[in-house]
Amino acid sequence: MKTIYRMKFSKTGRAKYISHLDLMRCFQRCIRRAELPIAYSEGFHPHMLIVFAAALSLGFESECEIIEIQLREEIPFDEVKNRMNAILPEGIEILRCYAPQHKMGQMGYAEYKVTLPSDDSMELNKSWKEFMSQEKILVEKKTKRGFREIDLKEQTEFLSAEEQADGLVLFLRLPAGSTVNVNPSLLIETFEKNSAISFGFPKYCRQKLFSSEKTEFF
Amino acid sequence: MSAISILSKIEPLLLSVQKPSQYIGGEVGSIVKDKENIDVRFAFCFPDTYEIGMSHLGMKILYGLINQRENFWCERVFAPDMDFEQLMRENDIPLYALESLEPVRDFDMIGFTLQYELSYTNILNMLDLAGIPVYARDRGTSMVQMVCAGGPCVCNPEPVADFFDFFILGEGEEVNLEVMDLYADMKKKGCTRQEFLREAAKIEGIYVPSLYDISYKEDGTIEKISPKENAPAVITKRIIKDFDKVYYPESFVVPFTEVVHDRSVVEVLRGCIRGCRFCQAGFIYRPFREKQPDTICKQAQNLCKNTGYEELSLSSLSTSDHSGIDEMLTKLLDFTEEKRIGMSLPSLRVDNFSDALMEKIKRVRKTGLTFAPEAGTQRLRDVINKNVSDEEIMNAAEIAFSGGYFNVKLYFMMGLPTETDEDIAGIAEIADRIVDMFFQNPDRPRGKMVQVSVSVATFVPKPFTPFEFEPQATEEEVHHKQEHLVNSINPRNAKRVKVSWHEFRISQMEGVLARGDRRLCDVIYAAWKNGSRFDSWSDRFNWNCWEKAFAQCGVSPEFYASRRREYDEIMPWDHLNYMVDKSFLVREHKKAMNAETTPHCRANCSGCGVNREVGRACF
Ligand code: SF4
Repeated sequence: MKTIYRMKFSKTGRAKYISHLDLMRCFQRCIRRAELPIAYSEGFHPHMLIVFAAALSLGFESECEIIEIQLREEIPFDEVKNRMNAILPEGIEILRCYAPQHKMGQMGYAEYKVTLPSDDSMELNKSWKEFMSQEKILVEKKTKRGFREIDLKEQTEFLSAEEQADGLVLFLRLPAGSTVNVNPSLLIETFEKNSAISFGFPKYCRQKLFSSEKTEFF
Repeated sequence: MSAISILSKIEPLLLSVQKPSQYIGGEVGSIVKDKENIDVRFAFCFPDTYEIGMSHLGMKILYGLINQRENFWCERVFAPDMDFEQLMRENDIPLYALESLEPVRDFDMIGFTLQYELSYTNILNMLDLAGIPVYARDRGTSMVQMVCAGGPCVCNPEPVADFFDFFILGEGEEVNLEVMDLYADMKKKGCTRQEFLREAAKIEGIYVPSLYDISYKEDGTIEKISPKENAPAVITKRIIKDFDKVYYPESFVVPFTEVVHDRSVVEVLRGCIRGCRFCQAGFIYRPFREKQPDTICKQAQNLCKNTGYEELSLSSLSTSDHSGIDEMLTKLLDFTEEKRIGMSLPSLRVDNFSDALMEKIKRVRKTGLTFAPEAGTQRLRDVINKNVSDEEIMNAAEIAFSGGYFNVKLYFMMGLPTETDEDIAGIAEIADRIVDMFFQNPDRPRGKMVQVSVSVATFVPKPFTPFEFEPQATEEEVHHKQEHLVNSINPRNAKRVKVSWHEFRISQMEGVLARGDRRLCDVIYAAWKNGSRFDSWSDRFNWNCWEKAFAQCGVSPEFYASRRREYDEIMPWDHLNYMVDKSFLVREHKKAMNAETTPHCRANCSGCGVNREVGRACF
């Protein structure tokens, strides 16, 4: 009998520079260190049964990454979480371990917090509002089959903005499904090119995942 | 500059460099301490990139050893790759350590490991990036930034003597802690740099180069090595007497990004019984000592458990010389199979490949096999004391083919003492015979093309070997040999035999630095100023930088590389005692010239002097 464990984890601080591929290897080793009875695939080169959802861009922080593992034995969810947290590297923490509710393919959107460092976040916010009030924001997006023009305006759900002393904080919801996927850095880079006001090195944090029906993804 | 300010400076840059996680630390197994409780901060510097340095076992051992002590903190530092170096210089980011992200210049001790001669310019570059004066004499009088080095190349540290405050000779597991304790004590007392160095020189194995004057004869050779301020006339390397009990880390730092050797490693033995005359490691690591199979097994299990590595390898100069090899491999293979851990076994010797051992290895090995006959004829193999016969090479290849392998990698050298064209042709002959044998083998893997890779290194004479007196082959000689080798391969096998070699200038520079003296310090400095860096990387080595440096300093590379030394010449390393007598090296050299072999240490002690130094028989 195999049991599926889905885990939500955060990736912050130094850990944001771990690439997706390296993170997968790190988790495999951490699962060994936690001595979890992980299940393996059949075949000549068996591999651990692990699935990651929605690769995060290098340099982004996140509070809602998803990993799913299959175990050969049943272990309480909390125990899996605690055993992993005891050995995970700085910056990676399992927040929740549970039985999956959505299928991986049902993921549809992600919410991001974007911080644009600036001394004058009020002015920057004005510029941002102007930028977002355009009817269309057309950009070229690289896809597997060359370039495609997309309208960022249509894809972006702008939730709110906070003017803070050291910068402007934006909350955005963007498509993060298997068919449509928009990286917030594309929007911010386009804004940077259009904005009269410059800002510092932007910080990104993925905060929440949603299903294609816009309910929280579990 | 604090950790926070370094972090805020590197953050915007990291995404524009290759493999950013190598510059940020935080790996599983890395050790972060509170610096307020630390007496001595030690920066362990590897003068090459993270990818290479993180594969190095010595660093893992000393990192664990030092950090076991509550009042010491050892951190890791690597050479930034060229892309990041440029950004660091443009943005005034000093070289920092990976655990604390604090500048290396604030550390008490800055220790480099000298693994290969061609990393020397990287050391200068790292010191400069750290903002530490490159020449030791410019580092002032207070007890800070003590720059030291250990590792195999320290057996002749003279070419880098001016850049270091002291060297650590031999094995570091005991002496490193002794010298750090002394430092902690003297720092508390408010001593000066010079006072500390004079005291440190009293510890066995510690060599303070500034306490020795070197004078030269008119012909350029050394006249005298004179100790001053009561420094010992001879400095003897340190060894661990009870190797089975020596400290071994329970865990490693596990990198996020892929590195060259990314797995658990257990050191199974130190030293080598073989006495191959070209091999420096075979002499400077004497005597031969091994760990018990149970110790090895326990350490392997611990490491795999604590790192989560899915692969295990064994480290030594010659694993198959372990007296308990069967017991050891059986135990390890059982445990690794159960835990789904892959096992890799490099450096198994051709001459004791038994069917039984082969069976065990076959259970885990997947790709081709590697042999190192080193020379093409029996005569020349006798000269270098590589006790492998043609029959044994063929035998091993036969077993390999029957076992389903079709890739064979052969390692040879060219430019060995007494070598003739016949010996070079012998290399081609071995490769041809292996190809022929493949087609005669009824059990050969079907539908596969046999591939024999012949890698030929240019021989570099090294200190503390019987060939330390020998000239290195010149460019002309080497080119002739390379041509002769290619022409000697049967044209029919041209596609099945692949020959490769190193660039001559790289081997020559290695040769110059290996047997050089202090007059090379300024040459290395000039080469670094001319742009030399990562000289061991064939795509980055730049002969022009070195050529110009030799001209600027009025030094001839040929004087060091291609000159024959007399037996009574004073070598730059003559005041360093690696426990092997010079008279033994002379004896071995004379036997080599007559193509006489010397039995291995287990069969018969040849009286190299190590047993006398250690105070007991080796076996
Ligand atoms: S003393 Fe004898 S046995 Fe020991 S290393 Fe030297 S030659 Fe070998």
